[in-house]
Amino acid sequence: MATLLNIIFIITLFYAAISGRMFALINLLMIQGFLLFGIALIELSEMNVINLAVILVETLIFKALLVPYFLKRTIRQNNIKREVEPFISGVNSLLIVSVLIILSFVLTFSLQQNFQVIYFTVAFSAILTGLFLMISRKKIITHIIGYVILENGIVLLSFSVGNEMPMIVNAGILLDILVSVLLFGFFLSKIRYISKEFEISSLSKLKD
Amino acid sequence: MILIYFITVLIVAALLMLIKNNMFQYFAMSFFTLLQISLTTYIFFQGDINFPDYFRADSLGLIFLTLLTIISVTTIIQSFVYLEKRDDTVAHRSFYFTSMVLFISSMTGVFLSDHIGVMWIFAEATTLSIALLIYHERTPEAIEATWKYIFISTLGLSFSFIGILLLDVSISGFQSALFTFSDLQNVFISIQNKMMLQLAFILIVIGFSVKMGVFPLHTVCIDAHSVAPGPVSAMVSTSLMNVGFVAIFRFYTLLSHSLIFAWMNHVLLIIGCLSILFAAIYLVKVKNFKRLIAYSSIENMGIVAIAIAVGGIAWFAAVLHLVIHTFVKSGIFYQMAQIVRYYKTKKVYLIGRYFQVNPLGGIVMLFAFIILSGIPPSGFFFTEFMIFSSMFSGGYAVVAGLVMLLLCFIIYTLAKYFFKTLFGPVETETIQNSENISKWESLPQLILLVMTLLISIYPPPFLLNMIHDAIATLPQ
Repeated sequence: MATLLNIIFIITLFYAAISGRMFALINLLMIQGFLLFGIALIELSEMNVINLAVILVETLIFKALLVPYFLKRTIRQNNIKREVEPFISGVNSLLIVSVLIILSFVLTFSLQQNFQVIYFTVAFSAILTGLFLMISRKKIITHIIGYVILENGIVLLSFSVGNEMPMIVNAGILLDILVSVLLFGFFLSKIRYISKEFEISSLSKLKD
Repeated sequence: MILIYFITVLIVAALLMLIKNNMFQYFAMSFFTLLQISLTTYIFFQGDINFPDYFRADSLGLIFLTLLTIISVTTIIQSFVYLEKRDDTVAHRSFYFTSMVLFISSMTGVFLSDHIGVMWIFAEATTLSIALLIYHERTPEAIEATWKYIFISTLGLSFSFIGILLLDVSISGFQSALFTFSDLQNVFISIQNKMMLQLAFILIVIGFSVKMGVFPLHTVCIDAHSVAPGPVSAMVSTSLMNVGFVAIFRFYTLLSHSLIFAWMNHVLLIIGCLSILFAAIYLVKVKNFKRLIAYSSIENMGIVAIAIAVGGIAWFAAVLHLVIHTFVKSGIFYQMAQIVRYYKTKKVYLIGRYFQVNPLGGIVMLFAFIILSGIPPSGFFFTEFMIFSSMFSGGYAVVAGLVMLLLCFIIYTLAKYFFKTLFGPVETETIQNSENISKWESLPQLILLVMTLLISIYPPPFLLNMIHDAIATLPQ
C-alpha cells in the first residue's frame, strides 16, 4: 500500500514537469500533502501514539491545506499571471525529470543502503525535481513551489530514517518550514515594487 | 536556566511587537541585554546547563557565546545611534528590535544546542529572523537582497537537513545512541559506508556555507551585507559567520574519527582556496565599500576553512583567528555605518578625507586596517603565521604559496580603498554641508579594537585553555 502511494507520488512529479498552469501545480502540492499523510499513517504506525498524532496532524494541516491555500492567496492578491512560463518546454522537462528519476535510482543503489530503497529513490527524485523546477521556470512563485516539492521529498526521506527524532524536534522543524514559506509569500508581494512581472530576471541589480 | 531564557526572550519579542513606544523599546532592549549577559555569565562560571540531550555548553560553544554577547551589546548601542538619525515610524523600529532580539537568541541557541535537530532548527531560525533586519531600509536593493538571502539560505539549510538525515540513516544499527553531538562521538568510528558519510558531509557543508560565508553559496551573504543597516552587517559578518563555523566544525569533529577524515580535509581545503580566489577576483571590480569589507570577511573565512583542513596547530589558530576577526570586523562595520550616513553614499570613489572629517573615526579605520592586513601587533599575524607554517610542514607548500600571493593582492586592494577613504581627494562641498559627529559614537569601536590588541599581544590564559579544550577531541 505504501509502495502504491509512493508510485503515485512519482507520477505527480511527472505531472509537475509538464503542467502549464499555476493552479494545477498548487493542487499537485495538495495531493502530495495527502499522499505524505497516507504514507506516514501506514509506515509510522509503530511509533508511540502522541508522536505519531503530532506528525500526522502537522503533515495534514501544513502540507496539504495551509501551504497550498497560502500560495493560492498570494497568486490572487498579486495578480500573478496564471501560466507557468518555463525556459524549457513541457516535453523536454518531462525527459529531464525522467532522467533525474533514473539518476535517483543510481544514487540510491550506489549508497549501498539495503533497506527502504523505494523511499530513498522517491525522496531523491522529489528533491531533484524540485531543484529542476526552480532553475527552469521564470516566475519567482514557481521557485517557491519547487521548494515545497523539495521539502516534501525531505519529509519522505525522514520517514525512512529508523532513529526517529523526538516530538519537539519534529514540531520545530515543521514550524520552521511553514514560517519560511509564509515569509517567502510576504517578500514575494514586496517584489511588486521592483517588477510587475514577478520574474527572476528582475532581481539582478546587486552585482559587482 | 536556558528554558527560562528562551521563554523570556519570546515574551520580550512579543511585547516589543505589541507596545509601540520609544521609551518601552529602550527599556526592553536594556532588559534583553541584561538577560543575555546574565545567561552568558551564568554558563561561564557554572560551566553547565541542566538540560541534557538537547542543550550542552562545551568550550567551543562558550567561546562563541561570549563573543556573541559582547558584540550584541555594542550592536544594540549602535542600533540606537543608527535609528536615531533615521526618521522611521515607531512601528518600523519595533519590527527592527523584535527581529534583533529573536536573531540574537537564535544564534545563542545554535551555540548551546547539543541535539543535531535542535541545532538545525535554531540555524533556520537565524535565517527567518534576519529577514526583516536586512529589509529594514526598504529600498529595491533591500528587497532583492532579502529575497535572495532567505531563499538561498533556506534552500541551503534544506540540503544540510538531507545531510543530517543521511547521517541518521547511516547509524541506524546503533539504536541506543541519542542523536546528539556528545553521544555520537564514538559511533562513527565503526561506520563502513563511506559514500553515505561523504554525501552527508558535503551536503552539510554546502548548506552551512551560506552562514559561514565560504565558497559555494557565499554570494547571498555578500548581498545581505551590502544592503543591511550597519549594525546588522556587523552581526552578519561576525556572529552569523561564527554560527556557520561552529556548525561545520561540530560535524567535522563528529566525523573526524571516521573513514572519511582525509577526504573531509581535502574538501575543506578546496572550499577555502576557492573562497580566497573568488574574494581576490571580485575585489578588483568592487565599487561599494560595504561589499569590499564583505569580501574581506569571505577571505578570512576561507583562511579558517583551510586552517581546519590542515590540522594540528592550525585548528588552534582557526578559532583564535575567528575571535580576533569578530572584534575587528564588527568595529569596522559600526564605523562604516557612520561613514555611509555622513557621505550619504556607499560608493568608494565618492568617499574621501575622512580623517579630516572625524579624526577619531579615522583612527578607528586606520587601526582596523593594520589589524586586518596582519601587520605585527595584529593577532592575524600570529594566526596566519601558525596556519602557513603548518601548511608548509603538512606538505601543502604550493597551495600555501598561491594563497599568500592572493592574500597580498587582497591586502593591496584593501589598502588602496582604505587610504582613499582616509586621505583621498573628495569634493569639498560634501564635507562642508554635513552634520557634526559626536565623539561618543566611536567609543564602542575603540573598545573593541583595544580588546583585539590585548588579545593579540597577551591572549588571556583562560581563552587559550578553552580553545585547547575545544579541539581536544580531534585526532592529534
